[in-house]
Amino acid sequence: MNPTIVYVGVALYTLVCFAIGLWGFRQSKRPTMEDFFLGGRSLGLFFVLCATWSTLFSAFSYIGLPGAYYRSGISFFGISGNIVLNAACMYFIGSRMWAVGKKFGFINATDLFAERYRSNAVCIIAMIISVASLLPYLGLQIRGAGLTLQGVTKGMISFETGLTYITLVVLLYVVLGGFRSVIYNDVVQAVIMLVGMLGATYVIVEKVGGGFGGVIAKAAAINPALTQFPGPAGVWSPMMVLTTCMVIGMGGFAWPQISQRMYATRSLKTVKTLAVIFPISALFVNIPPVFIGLAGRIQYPDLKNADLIFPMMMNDLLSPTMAVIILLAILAAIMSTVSGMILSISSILVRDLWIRFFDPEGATASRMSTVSRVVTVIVVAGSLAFVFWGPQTLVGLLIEASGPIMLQVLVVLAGGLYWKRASKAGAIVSMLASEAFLVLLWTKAIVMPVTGIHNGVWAMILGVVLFFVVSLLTKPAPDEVIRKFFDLYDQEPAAAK
Amino acid sequence: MGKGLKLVVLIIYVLLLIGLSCPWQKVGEPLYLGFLPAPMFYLIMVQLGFVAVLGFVAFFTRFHGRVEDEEDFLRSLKKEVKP
Repeated sequence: MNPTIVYVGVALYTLVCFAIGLWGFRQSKRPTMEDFFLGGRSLGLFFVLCATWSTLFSAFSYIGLPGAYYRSGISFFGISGNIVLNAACMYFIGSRMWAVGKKFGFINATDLFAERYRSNAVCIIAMIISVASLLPYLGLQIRGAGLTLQGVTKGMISFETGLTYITLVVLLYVVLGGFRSVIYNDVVQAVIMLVGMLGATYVIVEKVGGGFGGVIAKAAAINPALTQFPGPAGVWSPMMVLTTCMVIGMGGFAWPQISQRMYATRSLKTVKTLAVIFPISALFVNIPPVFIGLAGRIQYPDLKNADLIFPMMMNDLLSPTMAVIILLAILAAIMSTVSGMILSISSILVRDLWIRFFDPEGATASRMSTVSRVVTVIVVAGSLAFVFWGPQTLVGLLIEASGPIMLQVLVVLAGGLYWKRASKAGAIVSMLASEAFLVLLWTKAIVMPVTGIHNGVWAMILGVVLFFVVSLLTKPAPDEVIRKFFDLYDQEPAAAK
Repeated sequence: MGKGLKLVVLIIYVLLLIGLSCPWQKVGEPLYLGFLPAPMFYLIMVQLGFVAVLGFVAFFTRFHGRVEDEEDFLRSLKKEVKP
């Protein structure tokens, strides 16, 4: 890569991020916490689609996915099915979150828990789980950003410089304009990601296989299992595909940075349309890495570290200008994911910790806006510190289990919105027991007799059973709470009531 | 949304979930559209099936009840705030 083109490209991109951050700041009409974290609940379809898209697809789509296809062939494409389960959650759970968010002014899923279950304990447990699952993941994303930049520029940008650069740029535009800056940047980042992914795929596929069909034919000639399920290693059996899709898709929806988008949307129609359009648009990100990974298998058949496949092809097959566009696309993917996470963790800490326990009466709009910004800075510092200096076994476990961990919270979220009998005791026991069971499965203290099912789904099954049994055995929420929540979903039109 | 329709939708979802699990093991051919191996093509079809059912439930049923009358619902919230 030509250093001048790299530095000019990165500098221009940084300026665009700042300019958008400033624009977001100027768009904020009121200095309120709701405005800082949800942009005044006015998100239209185009913005929410770009934001969800660019937040959900991280650098993994560029680095991890091609590497996975290099190893597993097209069998890894089975995991793309997680997107339709994510979309189903958007419609079935997200629509109801939108409605209660409008009615009660919720900012996080954890707010909803406190009100629906009339329990600070449910709220705090969900908060701890959410933050514990996201904080190390956030730190890893930032750390990964430094490593990725160092790798794709062949050391031109050092690890420390890359890490510091990404952290500062994201932090500045998030602190400046909050949600609006994040969303406007997400739109630009989504466009760069899409152009970069499609452009790079076309060039690589043409050069390596003479076309998309050529890549498939050449890969099948190397090893027919590369174009079949369960793949060369025989991992992707039907049950493994389905349960992994459930963990990634449904657990992914429960991530605060995704579920929070449901509160931010302008209308119910937007949530519905998002649920329908999102899986279709996701194919543009899910299909290209298949061909990049297989092209890599043809080009470099005996690579030990498959995750290097995309950076290697960038340097060897793409023009310098195209390589810089891909570099920016990877930066965009990292930044959009990181910014969404930062904002969500901050909102949980401000709303559920600061206001609920330290400042319930005296919180003024402008003071909360300032507190939100200060907490945002602390969150970034904390996540970095945790990943660099935290106990490595715990950090590794939390990062690997982030989706499965949140899947257990989804049980309580969906149950609270659909089942009147759901009780706070049921919610508490379900979350604590299923998370503890998940840790036991992960550390292999317990080994299930049936193999080929994801650990997260085993834990979820236990969580669902306990949620129902304990709820039926204990007192439900008071009638007034049930009425406030469930009257919304009566079948009669409002005028007839 | 009546109970009968709910049951039909549930059955379709279960069938789609079976399709989503990629039961077509060891199938490598044909190549659809000249570049999509059969398993990928089938999986994309299943995903589009999911989207179609989701679209039907979202736009042609009243799954969420009163909230579906969005304007009335939002107006009722304003009344609650300012009686």
